[in-house]
Amino acid sequence: MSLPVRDRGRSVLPIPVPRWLTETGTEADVVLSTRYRLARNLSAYPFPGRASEKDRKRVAAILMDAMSRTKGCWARQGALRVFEKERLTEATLLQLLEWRYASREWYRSAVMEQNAHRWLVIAPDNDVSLLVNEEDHLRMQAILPGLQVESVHWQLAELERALSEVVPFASSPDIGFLTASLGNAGTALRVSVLLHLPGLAALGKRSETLDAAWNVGCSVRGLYGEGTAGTGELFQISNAASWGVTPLQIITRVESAVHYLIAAERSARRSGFGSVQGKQSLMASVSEAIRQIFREDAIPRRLLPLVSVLRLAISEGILAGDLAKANQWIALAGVVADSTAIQRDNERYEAIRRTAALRQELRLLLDGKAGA
Amino acid sequence: MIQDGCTRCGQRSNELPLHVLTIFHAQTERMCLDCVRPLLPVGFDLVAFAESLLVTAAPGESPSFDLLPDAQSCEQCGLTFGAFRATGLLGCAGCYRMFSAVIGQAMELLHGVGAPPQI
Repeated sequence: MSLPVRDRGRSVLPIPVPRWLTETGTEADVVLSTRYRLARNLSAYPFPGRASEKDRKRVAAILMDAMSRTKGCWARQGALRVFEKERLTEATLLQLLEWRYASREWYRSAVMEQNAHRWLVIAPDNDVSLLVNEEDHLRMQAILPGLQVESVHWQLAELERALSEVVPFASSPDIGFLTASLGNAGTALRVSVLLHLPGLAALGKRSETLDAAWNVGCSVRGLYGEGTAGTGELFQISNAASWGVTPLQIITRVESAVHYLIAAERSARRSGFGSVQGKQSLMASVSEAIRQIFREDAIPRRLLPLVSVLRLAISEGILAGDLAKANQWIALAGVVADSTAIQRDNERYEAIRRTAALRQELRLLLDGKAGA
Repeated sequence: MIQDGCTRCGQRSNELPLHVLTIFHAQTERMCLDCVRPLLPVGFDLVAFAESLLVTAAPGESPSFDLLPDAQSCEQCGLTFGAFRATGLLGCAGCYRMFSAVIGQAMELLHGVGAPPQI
């Protein structure tokens, strides 16, 4: 979904829509996306949080040069989309965050700091993005639609290997790859799967089920902020440890926790919404959610739980529409559910813009091929 | 290293890391992972929690593990150990060598005791 954006006259590259918002992968009823992230640093320079402007500039130059020299190893040939923070409008920065090319850390510091030499590169496949001068010198990530843990691993592993031949990354025999935070050191790998678990929540079984993921060494957090109200029942399952385990062990650990949660969520949905009474109850929730979205005083932080209901309804066949589109709504509403994402003076503007975009989408859906 | 067992069950197992936990911003207890888990809300991020151990002990307080002097600094980037404890972030690759006495223990807390190195 493309939104009109407020521009301050600075020209920017168009941002490609990522595949996790245009396609559905496997297990799409429950899983929105799989993200694979590697952190790397150059040994000769202080980490970004400690580096001088001159150091950051030099690091950015080295990494940008390395990327251009390894273009043959990228999954798909084509031009790299390069975004330099200093040339971006706030609206573009927020769009990069909404589509998860940028991390919250990169976005926040990009908004707050000047001359930080933060760069963001989007690969030709639109799956891979590289953040320069985030918490670490380089964060590489790939996000694929649905559950695709192994594919996402191979997609990034080749690129990382090619880059490491051009740029020696900081590592030690005892630790592995060295990162600014000890929590990332070692493999410096974080595999995160984004799950939609409204069925478990409705059944009151969310806590005990997520506990099981924890018990097999995964951490659980809301993608769009913590707490029960604001999450929209969207949870990220990630590996808790990144040291002392191989990437393949991490993948297996996360995958097994996710498969368990998918089965539990499907069972909960059957139990909650499988009966005639359950379907009627869900239809009533959908009607109420749509009413709320069309109310004049729609509040941005309340959009996510409403959109969450719509996504569930599409998944359960109660509402016409496709899940990739529902994922776009989640991204649209999710980025403003996190109170730290938007500056206070922009809050009203973002509320109006996002609510209007969502209403337009819903009008098309309800007028054209209404299933509610 | 931590010498005492868990204050709840007395466990001194080598297999489980012992954690110092500040519960509800009031009480600091030394607990094993088994006893800590039921007290924490679901969705609690174990990695972030373990990282917070680095910042829970204020200067002069009893630390969760052997600490270096706060003034000790990295020769390469100048980061002091005190600054590392305050933010939980290291300054450069050289900090890993400079603070190696603590980093081994911290890695065990964060990722599990006895983890072999892997690249």
